[in-house]
Amino acid sequence: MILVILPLGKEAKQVVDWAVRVAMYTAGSTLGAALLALVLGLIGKALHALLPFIGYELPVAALGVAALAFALHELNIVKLPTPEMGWQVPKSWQRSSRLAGQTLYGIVLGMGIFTFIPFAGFYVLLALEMVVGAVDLRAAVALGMVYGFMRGLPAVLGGISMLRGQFPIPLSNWLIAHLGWWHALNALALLLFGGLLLGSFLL
Amino acid sequence: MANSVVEQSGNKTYRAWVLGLSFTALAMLGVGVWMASLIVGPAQPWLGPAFLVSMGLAAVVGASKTSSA
Repeated sequence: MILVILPLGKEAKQVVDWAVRVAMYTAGSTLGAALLALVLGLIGKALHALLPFIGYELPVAALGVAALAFALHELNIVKLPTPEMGWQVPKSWQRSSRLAGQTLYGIVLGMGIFTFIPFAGFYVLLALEMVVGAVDLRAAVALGMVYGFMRGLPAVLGGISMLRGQFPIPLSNWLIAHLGWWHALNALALLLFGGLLLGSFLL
Repeated sequence: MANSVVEQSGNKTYRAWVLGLSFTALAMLGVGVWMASLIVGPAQPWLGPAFLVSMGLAAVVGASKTSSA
């Protein structure tokens, strides 16, 4: 995506054009993730209404266990199933309008469930949005928005590096070359989260 | 996966990476459990400190995906 949304030049009009497209892509990504969080939250609410005897404590404990298990997966200690659709957004979406196409890219990529899922923390986040949404839909949507906004960052970074006279491939390569660090960071975040949830039951 | 960072490098670097990561992982788990000790009753990820940690997790997962873009 870094290489799709570029300033394509340094003329003022091209930079403004890029800024609009990157803003729409990031807004789309935030919106897509928020919409998915809302749907998951509503599913959580419906499940809680159907099965009120389960309460909130059991799902929170299950989330803690899942976070620790997926942290071990990220650390390559255990292997867990990580289903994904692996669909790639088509180039044809940009044919009629680059702005509309890239906004659509943002919405679909922001949802995250249709494409590749390289980080196991994403599954925990989806389950978390469902559990949180059962209690407070606004909190679930806020989680989705944070995820979606952060998801939109590469386009901004790529554009800034282009404006500074650097072609974004080094940035893109750097991100890919440090995949292991990203997995480690995910594992650490999951350990903190899992430790907090499970620890609250044990202490 | 996490330990693929240096699996191509020398044994010494790899050992240092695995040890460093293991220590940091245990430290993070410890911080999580310590934070849990400050909460009365089960954590509620929809409010308070547990919600902040949840937001952090969402930010990390979202930012990680930048590397796949």
